Amino acid sequence: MTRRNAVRLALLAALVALGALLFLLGKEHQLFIDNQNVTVSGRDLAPIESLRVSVAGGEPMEFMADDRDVTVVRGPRASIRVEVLDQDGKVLKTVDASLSFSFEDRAMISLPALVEGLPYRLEPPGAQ
Amino acid sequence: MKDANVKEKIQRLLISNAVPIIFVLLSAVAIPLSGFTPQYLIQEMMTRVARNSFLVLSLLIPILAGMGLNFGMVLGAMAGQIGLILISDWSVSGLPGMLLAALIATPIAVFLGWICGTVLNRAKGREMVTSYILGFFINGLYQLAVLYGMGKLIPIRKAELVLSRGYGIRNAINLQGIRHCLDDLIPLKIGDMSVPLATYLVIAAFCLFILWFQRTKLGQDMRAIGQDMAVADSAGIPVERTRIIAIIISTVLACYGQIIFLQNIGTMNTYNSHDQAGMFAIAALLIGGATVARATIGNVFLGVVLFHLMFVVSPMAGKQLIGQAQLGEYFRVFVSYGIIAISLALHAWKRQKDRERARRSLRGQAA
Repeated sequence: MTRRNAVRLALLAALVALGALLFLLGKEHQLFIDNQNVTVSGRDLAPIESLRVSVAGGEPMEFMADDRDVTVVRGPRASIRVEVLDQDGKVLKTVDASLSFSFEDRAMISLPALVEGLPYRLEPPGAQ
Repeated sequence: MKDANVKEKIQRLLISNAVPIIFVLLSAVAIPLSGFTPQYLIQEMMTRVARNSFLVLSLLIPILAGMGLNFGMVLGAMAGQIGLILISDWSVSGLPGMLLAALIATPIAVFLGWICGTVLNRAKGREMVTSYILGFFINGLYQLAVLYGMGKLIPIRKAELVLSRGYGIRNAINLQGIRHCLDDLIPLKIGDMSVPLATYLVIAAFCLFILWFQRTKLGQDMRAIGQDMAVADSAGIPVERTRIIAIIISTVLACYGQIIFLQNIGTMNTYNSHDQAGMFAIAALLIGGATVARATIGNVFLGVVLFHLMFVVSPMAGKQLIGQAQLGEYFRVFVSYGIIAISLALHAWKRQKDRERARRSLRGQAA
């Protein structure tokens, strides 16, 4: 292989790598946020009565028991802040977490599991 | 004798700038009739200059190489659109999505530019009409690929992009994911007006690139070819190769221009968006005072402002004049095609006059 061809190959590889990086940075994921009954690590977790959830610093979303909502996040990582509220709307507990994504289109998290500090990733709808 | 010289100079100046002068006069009449506020018009012009300048600038390099107005720039626009279709399907959004679309479209644009350059080398002296017809031919291939290939040969997963029959792309694609991603990258507000600063910086970088490129060896070769192909060939410049490079650069830049244009619009008309790209860009350049043989960066910006000023004010001016805003829509098409025809006719007439003048001066020297 000549030096010129080697340079061309390296350039091509760099462009492919750049493409993969851009794909990863710009990929949108549908994130389902679930506040329903769930069994995680052998524990049955009940839905939480009132929650406020903010994903990637976006508009906060209100969740009641048995709610499920969907939002779109971009990139390989997104922060999530979950605030457990009492009946008067006062914050009882705040949980911060970082969600990571690869190439998947959809992901789902369980809020009761996240608040309890248990594994919170669930199979998203339509994944089977 | 001196008076005759001055008269001839004024005459030449008026002829060279006939098109921009006509448009300045038209604008001067239409703006007060339209009733738009200066603030509205300035905002519109800022948006439209950001949206269109890159596409128009992509025409400069083939003119430098003496290949006239590159009607084949629609090939680049098609390549850009293929990139945008793919990123829409993959749900890649924001600036990374736009850059990925450009990255995917670049090899397609290079290939199409190479085809265009090779064909134009076989049609020397008739580049404009050849590239115009080539645009129609490649448009056929584009439609074949997008209407039948996508969803069948090229997997498309998103149901909202595919026609109900299961293959082929829908007529309109929502580019919400990348809408204004470049324009709003550096937010800047002056009063109530928002300035797409990042897009202006990209355009400024492109202008600097063109100025730098004209001073490079390749740029000088292109200029030499543009002045006289036979002399350039005798001087050892690889004429055909240089011409192909000029068209490839123009096609790739038109591809980026179309991506910038569509990120500003936010929707893509799959089968028509590229159609008007070449025509409107060429019309804008000619309105700016450029000719088939000579165009500058100044012509680009003057042309974009004058052309789009007429676009904005003509519907309202038409409504005030004859009570129908539709006049503006007719005006767009009429102006685009009409101005290209006028410019080409003026160019031919001017060339004939120049030849006559040269002959006269030669006879004068001989006497």
